[in-house]
Amino acid sequence: MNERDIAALKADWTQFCDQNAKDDWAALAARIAAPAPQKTARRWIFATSLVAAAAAIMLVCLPILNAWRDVTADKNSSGDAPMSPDDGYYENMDGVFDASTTAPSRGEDINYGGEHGSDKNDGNGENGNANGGTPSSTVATTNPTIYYSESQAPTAPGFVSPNASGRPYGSSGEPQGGDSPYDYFRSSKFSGIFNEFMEWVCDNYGKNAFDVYEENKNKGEKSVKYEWSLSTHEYVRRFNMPRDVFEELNRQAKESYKKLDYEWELENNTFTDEEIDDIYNLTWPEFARKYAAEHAIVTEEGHIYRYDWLVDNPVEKWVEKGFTVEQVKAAYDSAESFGRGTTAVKEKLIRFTAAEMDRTVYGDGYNTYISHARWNRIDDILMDYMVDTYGQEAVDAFKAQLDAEKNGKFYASRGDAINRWLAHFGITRATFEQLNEQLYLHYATTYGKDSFECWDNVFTTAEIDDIYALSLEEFNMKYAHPCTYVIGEYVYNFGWFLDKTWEDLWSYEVFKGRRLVALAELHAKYYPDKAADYNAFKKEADRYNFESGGK
Amino acid sequence: MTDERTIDQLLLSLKENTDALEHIYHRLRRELFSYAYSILQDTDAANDAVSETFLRLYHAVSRYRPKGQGRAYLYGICRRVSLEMCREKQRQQPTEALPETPASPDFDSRLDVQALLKRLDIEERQVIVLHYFHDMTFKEIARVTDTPEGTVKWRHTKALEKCRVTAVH
Repeated sequence: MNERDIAALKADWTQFCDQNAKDDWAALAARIAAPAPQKTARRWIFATSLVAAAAAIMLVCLPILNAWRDVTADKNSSGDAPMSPDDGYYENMDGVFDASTTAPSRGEDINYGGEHGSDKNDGNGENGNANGGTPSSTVATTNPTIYYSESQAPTAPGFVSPNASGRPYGSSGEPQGGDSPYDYFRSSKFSGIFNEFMEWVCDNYGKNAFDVYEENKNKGEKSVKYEWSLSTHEYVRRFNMPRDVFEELNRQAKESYKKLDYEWELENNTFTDEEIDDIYNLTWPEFARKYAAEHAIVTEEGHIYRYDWLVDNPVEKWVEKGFTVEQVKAAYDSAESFGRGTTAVKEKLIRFTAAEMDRTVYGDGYNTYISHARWNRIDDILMDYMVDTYGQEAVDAFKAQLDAEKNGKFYASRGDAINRWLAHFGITRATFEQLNEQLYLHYATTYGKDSFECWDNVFTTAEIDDIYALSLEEFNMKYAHPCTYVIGEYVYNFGWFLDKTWEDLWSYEVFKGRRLVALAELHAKYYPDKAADYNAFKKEADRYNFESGGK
Repeated sequence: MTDERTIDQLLLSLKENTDALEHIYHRLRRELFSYAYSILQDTDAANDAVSETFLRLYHAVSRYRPKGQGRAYLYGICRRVSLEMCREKQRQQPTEALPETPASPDFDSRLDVQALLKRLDIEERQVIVLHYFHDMTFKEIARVTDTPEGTVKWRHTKALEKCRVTAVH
């Protein structure tokens, strides 16, 4: 869609709204003028609602309370010593520690009350999962289709991947962690129900079940860390928590925060209905995309690459992972909107954008991140500046000097001697940056800030660093290799070779032996679409090597 | 685009003088209809949502504090009303798609807008309509939809991708 399309759509939309938006002021005024319900009537409605609500609560809570009483009575009869909170075992469903209650010993797992009260363990370990048995059958089969399919159901404690690909998160070593202050859920949603969730897990799977699971999950993995809130999706599947139990825990957390008047926690540490729906209904990739994609790159498989990953890894890695420019740009924009956008990533993004452009033109093998256009543009602006500042004569003289150094033999691309020019005329970095800035402004004004020219035709800070810090040879090796042939300070484009006869090429001492063969191999690798040409070149070079006896 | 400060002043005067409501209504009803329609995809429901928005405004305006965000305030009410109606409708017709608006024979190109918007989900439709048809910035949309700006940008990107696909086909 271009701007004209958008303008046309907007016109259509406006016309549509004009035609269909009714002027209902008269009806609205009548509604406003209508008398409000009398206070007594409103009081009556309020009172009736209150009574109805109380009755409903009683109806819901009584069975739960009865079952809970059974459970606690059973637990107290075991006579074991109470667990300390530090053991990670939480005794009461309301999250309050009670030293008078006792924890079940291993294998004496007790199910959560309410619907599952009848499944409480009789102490023979039949349903106990502390030793790695299967989950309680009642819990595992409580309407399991509500929240995930049979094929995804965990069969045994220990790490089971809930994701679609069937492999553990991060098992391939993709970093997915690193704390950032702005991530979705802000890491805290799950904390609202953490204690109760753990208690439920301990009751159903044994007191170490969660630790074992976490330990297995993190074995052999590099910096894998999820926010709890995102992990909730996995937890409910791994531990097969029925939705009604989850909702009850969430409701309890909300109630607690309301009582304490903790507004922030109420909003940030509890789940909304939509979030619960998503936890139970979406697959992991869907869930990850919905909740993490706003600040990170989420792959089709649901792997999450956060902004920190972009900061820590070079552009080559981005290419390797198959990210698109749009994905990276969205992650950068998001970080920037939170004040976390870094110059380093922005500059990498510029190179990445250029590389993607090049890849479109030259194919996957092309991996240089410097566009030739960039050198041409600065060449023009530098030349203008040098002519204006030092005079045409001085510029011509230095050009002649460079040509003399080349001894009239070798072609070198225009950007290669940039630091020679800068050094010769004593152009400071500040001046160079100013020229670069002018160039940027020129493109921004002419083509817009998001234009290809702005991204691609101006130098990044890192490149300017290199222009001033590296020797010409180092600079060429870094930026021109392998798409050109670098010998010392000189850079040879392949076109130069193709313009020469084999006899001419052989006259240059520097190309004798295997060098031309190596060059052809290099180009065949990086320009796969032209590999046939380069292979022909290589064959020819081999022939000359053979004839001249060179190796 | 309606001036924020003017809306703010009208809302302030509404506290003292209910006649101001009529001014605001006539000034913004089309805009709000457009926004409500982007959520509800039903002209009758969108008109109802606009009326309900002004009714709620009338009852709630005494609590409004002028911050130069009067327009966003109204859009916020409209959004909540529309989403409530949307949810209500889904509860009543859980398996049915939202009713399609019959195409007017004299307005062929509207089908294109509708086709594009139908490809989007509610959140994306809001971003596209507010950004392109109401000329709101991402920051303003973030304020109206009570969503982080980054999310708005992300939805915008995703919505454009879908629109491109629709446009191609």
